[in-house]
Amino acid sequence: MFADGSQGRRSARSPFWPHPRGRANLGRCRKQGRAKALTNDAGARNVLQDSVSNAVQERDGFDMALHGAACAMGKAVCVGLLMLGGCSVQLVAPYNPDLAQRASSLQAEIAAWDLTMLKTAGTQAADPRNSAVIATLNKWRGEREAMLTLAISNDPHTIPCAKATGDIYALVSQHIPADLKSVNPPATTSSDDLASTSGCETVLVADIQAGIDALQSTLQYCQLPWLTDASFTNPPPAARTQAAPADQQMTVQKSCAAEFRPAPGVPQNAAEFGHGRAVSGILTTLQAITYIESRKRALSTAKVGL
Amino acid sequence: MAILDDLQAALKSGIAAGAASAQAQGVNLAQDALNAIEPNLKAVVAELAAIAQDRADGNIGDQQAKDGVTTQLNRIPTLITEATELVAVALQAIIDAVLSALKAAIGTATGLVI
Repeated sequence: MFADGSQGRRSARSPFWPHPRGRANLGRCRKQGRAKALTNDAGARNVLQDSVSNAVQERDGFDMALHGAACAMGKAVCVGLLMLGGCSVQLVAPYNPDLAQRASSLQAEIAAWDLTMLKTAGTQAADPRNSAVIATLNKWRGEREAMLTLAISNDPHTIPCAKATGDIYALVSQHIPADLKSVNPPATTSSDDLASTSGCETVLVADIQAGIDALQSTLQYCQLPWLTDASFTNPPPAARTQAAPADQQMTVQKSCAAEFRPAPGVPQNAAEFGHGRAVSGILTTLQAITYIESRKRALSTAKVGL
Repeated sequence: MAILDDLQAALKSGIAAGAASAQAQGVNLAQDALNAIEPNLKAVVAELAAIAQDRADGNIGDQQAKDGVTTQLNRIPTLITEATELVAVALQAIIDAVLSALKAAIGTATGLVI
């Protein structure tokens, strides 16, 4: 019996398989993500039931095209073949060379900027009110927006990151001694909405924003207190060369340089090796994205080889 | 039924492919932990030590030291997020291997290219 209550054959259909309507079903199936059918999600179940129902309706087309063996096993096998042939399970976003390239470029740009900041610590060039510093941070924010668009558009939204990281943390925390456990599991710094619906790579890309904000906050320790804000808005030459009290300049130079000086003992393959702790957070995020993309590239290469 | 035997063999092929892939991905995940996670956790420890040293040397004040510690601790959720995505990538590889093997084996059994 069909979904509409009728029995037997429906109207005559194309003898060719896949039937145009069947092809449409396959396209819809791909778009909506077959992996969701693996969950108990009601929407995904409806999609599956819809596909099965439509596949049964395409029985005539199957009979003509398959001619025997598979359909001799009954409708279940036919439907199974349809699903296997038409759908793939997508847990993570596929390799995105554009995202990988942008993350890697931003990583290199921030690393180079860090070295410049170390050299200019205690001068106007490193002051967060300097237009060049502001422009640099804004450029990175723009770059993050572009990367986030790429990540979101690629995201299959199959595994919500917040739930997955919670599960991973629960596994890991079993092995943490009780006296070292924090009361609450660590949370991602991106917005809860995004983490509850998106994959973890998207969350990492979104977290670049938190890294930039943290960096901007750190730059307060590079601010020259003897200069007014007006000195940085189309400053007249006199303001640029305003003399600094020696003790204050030394203090700012020390506190600013402390943020951009490489720490001893950082492993060579750590994100911020050779760079200061001010950029360690954002470099860790970018390294994570680059690393994940490199693993996905290997996976996509292996799939092509199959 | 010959076709049923063929399809059961296909299922076995899929399971075997999944097991082999799972083994390979397990090795990859262990390597990922060594390559990408562990060095950054060690770096967090090194940075915390450097902050303490800078505070002791008078290079930074209390508030700057606290901010630095917060920044470093915030790196840990990032690493957990990265590890989670790497696990998902490994699962994807296993699923792809199983589906690929099933498609090939069912194709052989039924003569269909799927």
